[in-house]
Amino acid sequence: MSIEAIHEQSVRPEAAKNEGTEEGVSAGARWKATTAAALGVGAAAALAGCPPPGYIPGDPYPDVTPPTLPENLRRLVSRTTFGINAREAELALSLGYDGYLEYHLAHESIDDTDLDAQLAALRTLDDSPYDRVRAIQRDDDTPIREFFLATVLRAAYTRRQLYERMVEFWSDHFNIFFRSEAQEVLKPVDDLEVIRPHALGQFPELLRASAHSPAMLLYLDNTSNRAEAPNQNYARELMELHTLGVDNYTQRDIEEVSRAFTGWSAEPDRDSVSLGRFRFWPQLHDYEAKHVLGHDLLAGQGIEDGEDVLDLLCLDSEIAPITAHFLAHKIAVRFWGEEPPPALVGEIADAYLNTQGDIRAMVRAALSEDWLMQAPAKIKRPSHFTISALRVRPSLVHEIDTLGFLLHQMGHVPFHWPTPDGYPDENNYWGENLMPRWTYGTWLVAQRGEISIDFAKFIEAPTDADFLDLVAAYYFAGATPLAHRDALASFLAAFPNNPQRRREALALAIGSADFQWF
Amino acid sequence: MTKRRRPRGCSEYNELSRRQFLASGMALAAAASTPAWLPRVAYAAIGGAGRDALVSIYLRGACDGLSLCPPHAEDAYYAARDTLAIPRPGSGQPGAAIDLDGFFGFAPAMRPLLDAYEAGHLLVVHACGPHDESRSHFDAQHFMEVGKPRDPDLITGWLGRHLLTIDPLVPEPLLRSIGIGVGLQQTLAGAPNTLPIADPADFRLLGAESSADDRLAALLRMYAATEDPLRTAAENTQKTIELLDSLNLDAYTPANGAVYPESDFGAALKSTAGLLKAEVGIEAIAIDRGDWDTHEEQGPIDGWMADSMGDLAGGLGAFYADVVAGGQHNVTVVVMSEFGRVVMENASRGTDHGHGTIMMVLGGAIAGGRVLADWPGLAPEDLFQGQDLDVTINYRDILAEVLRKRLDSAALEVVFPDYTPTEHGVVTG
Repeated sequence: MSIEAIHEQSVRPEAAKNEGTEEGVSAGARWKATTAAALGVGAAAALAGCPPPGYIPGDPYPDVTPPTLPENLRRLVSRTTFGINAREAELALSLGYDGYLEYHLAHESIDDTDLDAQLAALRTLDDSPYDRVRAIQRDDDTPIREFFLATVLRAAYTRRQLYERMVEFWSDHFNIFFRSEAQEVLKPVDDLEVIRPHALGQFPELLRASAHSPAMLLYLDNTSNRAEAPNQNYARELMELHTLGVDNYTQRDIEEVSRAFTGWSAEPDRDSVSLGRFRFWPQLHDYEAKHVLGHDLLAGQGIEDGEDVLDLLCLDSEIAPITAHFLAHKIAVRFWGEEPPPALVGEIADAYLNTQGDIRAMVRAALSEDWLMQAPAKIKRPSHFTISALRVRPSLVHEIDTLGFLLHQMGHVPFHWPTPDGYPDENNYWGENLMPRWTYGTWLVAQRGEISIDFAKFIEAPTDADFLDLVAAYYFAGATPLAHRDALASFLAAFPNNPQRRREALALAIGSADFQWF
Repeated sequence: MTKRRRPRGCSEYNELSRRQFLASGMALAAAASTPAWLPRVAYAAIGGAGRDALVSIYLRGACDGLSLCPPHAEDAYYAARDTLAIPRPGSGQPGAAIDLDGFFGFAPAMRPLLDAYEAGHLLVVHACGPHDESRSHFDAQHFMEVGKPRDPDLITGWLGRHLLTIDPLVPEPLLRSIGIGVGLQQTLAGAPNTLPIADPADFRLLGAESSADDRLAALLRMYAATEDPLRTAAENTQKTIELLDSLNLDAYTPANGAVYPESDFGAALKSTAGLLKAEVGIEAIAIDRGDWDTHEEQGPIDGWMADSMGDLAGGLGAFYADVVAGGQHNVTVVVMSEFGRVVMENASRGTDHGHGTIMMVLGGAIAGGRVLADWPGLAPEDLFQGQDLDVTINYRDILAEVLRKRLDSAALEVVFPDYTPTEHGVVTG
C-alpha cells in the first residue's frame, strides 16, 4: 500500500470537522454489517443498534467509567493485562491485590464465552497440518489470516489476560519464525498444542511439548539430525535459550544432546493424515551411549535418550536450579522490568524449584506486591501498545490486514522475529521508532471499518473539560500527567467543543508518552 | 506505469504479496542523541572524503536474469525457452535483444540503461547470487540480507553491520540510513540512526493536514515531559520530520532532464537522489522492487516482466542521468535478487524457482560497460541440479569489493562473517 493510499483512506477531510450524527450512523451501519460476518448472525443480532449502548462488543461489560485505582492495583492490573479497562479496574478494586492476582492465575475458572463466541466465527483454528497443506494447495489463505486474527482477538478480548500475557511470553521464549510455507502449516499447531495448553502450567510439560513440536524441530533443523550426520542446532538452543542459558553447558554437551535427539522429526508424507505430526525415526537414531551434563545415557536407548535429556534439564536436582534461574530472570524482566533485583529472581527461581516447575508459582512470585511497588516503568512493546488501545473502549477487530500492516511498521508482527531468541523485551530497543505509534491513534479514530471503536461517549461529552476528564479516566488510569493535560487542553482550545478536534485529541492520547509506558 | 495484473505465482510468493506485512518485520535502532543539529539543504557533492553513499536495491521474488540479460550466443538458451527467449540481436524478430558484448544482451525493456552501460558506469554480473541452495524466497532473502547462509543466530543485515563498523560520513548525523518501505529491510537491521520510511517526501503525521502542526506540537509537549528513550526519540522524530520537510522532495527537480517513472520504484529513486544530494549524512538507502515471481505468463518482451524491467531500467536510467553521469556525486548502486529461475520454461509460459541470476552495479567508479561472468554454460550437463544456471560468482564478492573500495570498509569480516571475498575488478583502479 502506498503512503498516498493510506492518507486517502485514513484522513478525514476538512468536511469532517462538522460531522456529527451522520458520521456516527454510517460508522454504525458498517459496524453492524461487518459484525454479521465476524460474529455470525446470532451475535450480530445482539449488537443491533450502533453500537449497542452500554456494552463492549468484544467483551460485554457495562460501559462505566473506569474507577481510579490506588497505585499498587494500577501497577498490578497494567502488568497483568494487555491494558487497563473498566472491567479489570473494578475487579481489582473488589478483589484486592492478592485476590485479583489469584483470580487471573486460576485462568481456567474465568468465564471466556464472549471471546469464544468471537473465535467461533473462525473455522480453521483447529485445522491439522494436513488440512493446512490442503488449504495452501487450494491457494486459500484463510487459515493464516484466521491464525493472526485469533492471536489479536485473544490478546485484546480474553478475560484470561494474564494467561494470554504468558502465551505471548512463551511464544517469544520458544520463538519460531513464521517465514516458510512449512511454518504456515506447523506454527499454528505449535501455538495450539504446545504454547496454549501449558502457558500457565508446568514448565517440564511445556518443554516436553515443545521438544515434540514439528514446528520447533523443523525451525531448529532437528528434522535433519541423524546418527551419521548430527545437526546441533536444536540441541544448542534447547540449552542456551529454552533452559540453561548461555555458558552453562559445554560444546561436548551440545554434541551429546544433539546425538540424543537424532531421529526426532515429523511425518513428511503429504498424503498421510499424520502429515506434520511428531514422529521418531528409529533408523536415524544414534544408539551409542552418551554423556550429557555429567549424566550417562545408556547404549541402546531410542526416543528415551531425548526424554531423559529433557528431564535432566528441568528436573535434575543439580541442573534444574540453573534452568529455574534462567527462566526466573526472564519472567522478572517481563513482569517487573529490566535489571531485576537478584533477590526477586531468587524468589521466582525458588518458586520453580519448590513446585517442580509450576509456572503459576513463578508468576505469582514475579508479581508480588512488595516487589512490584519498586518496579521501573516499561515501554509497551508494539503489539501490547496496539492491543491496549483496543481495550480502552468497546471495540471490534474485523480483519487483520490493517493491524498487521501497522505492526509491520512498528517491527512487531507476531511470530516474525527471525532468530530463535524471540522479540526483545528492552525499553531501548522499542523506544525509538515513534512515528507509527504517533499515527496509530489516527487510524483508530478514522473508523474506516477494519477496526471499530466506540468513541461516542467522548465526542458527546458536554464540555472539553468533561472530555479531558474522560480521557484521564480511560487512557491515563485516572491521572493524566500535567504536561499531557495541558497539551491536550490547548490543542482542544483552538476549536472548542469540536467533534473532529476531539477525535484528533483521542489519537494524541493514544500516541502520548504516558500511554506508551505501563 | 500501469501494473499488469500478475497471474498466479507460486503459492509461497502469493502469500508474501497478499500479506506484505508478514515480510520479515524488523525493528530498528535509531538515533541516540543529536545536540546541535541543523539540516544542510545545499545540494552539493556527496561524501567529501571520497566515500560513496550506497543505494541497495533488492529485486524481491527471484528475478529471471536470463530474460534481463539473455546469453544470446547460447543455443541452449533458445532450446530451453520456446516462447520466452529474447530473440537474437539483429534477428529482425520483434523484441530482439540489444547486444552488449557479442555474447550477452539486454532485453529491449532494459534500453534505458544503455547510456550507463556504454559510458562504462554500469556493470552487469551474471551467473551470480548466493551459493545457498534454498529455493524458498523467504529463506534465500533472509540469509542473503543477513550476509551469511544458514546462520540462524545472525540477525543484523550486512549493510547494517557495515554502518556499525564505520564512522558516520558527517559528525552527529540524524539519519545514517533509510529503508524505503513500511518496515525496515533486513539488509539494514542493526544500522545506527536508521528508520524505515515509506515515502521520504511525505514523512509526517497521518491525518488532516490543517491540524498536523498543532498535533505535532501537542505530542512534543507531552514527550518533553517524559523519560528516555522516549523523550529523545520524540526530539529525533521531530528533527527528521523537519529535515525531510525542509528538503522539499516533492519539488525536487532532477538534473540533466532525467525523468523518473511514475511508479513507487521511480518515486523511491527520485527521493533517494534528493536525499543524497542534500548531503545530510545519509550514507545508505535500501529500496525494494518486487513482482519478479514469474511462474506464469512471464512476458519478458511485451508482458508482465517487460513492464517490470522497464520500470527497473527506467528508474535506474533516470538515477544515472540525474546523479551519476555528471560525476560530481559519489554514489554506488547495487541491484540484486534472491535467486534466478529455471532455465527451461514451464508449461505456463513462465519459469520456476532457480539458482543463478544477475546483479548490477552502477556508479562513476565502477568498471562497467561489460558483463562480468565466469559463465558456466546452459547445456544440460552444465546446469546446477540439472536445471538451473549455476552460481559462479558469489554476491558477497561484489558487495565486499564495493564496500572496501568505495565505502572504505575495513571490517569485511564483520560485514560478511566467515567469508573470504574474491575481488573481480568491479571497481576501477
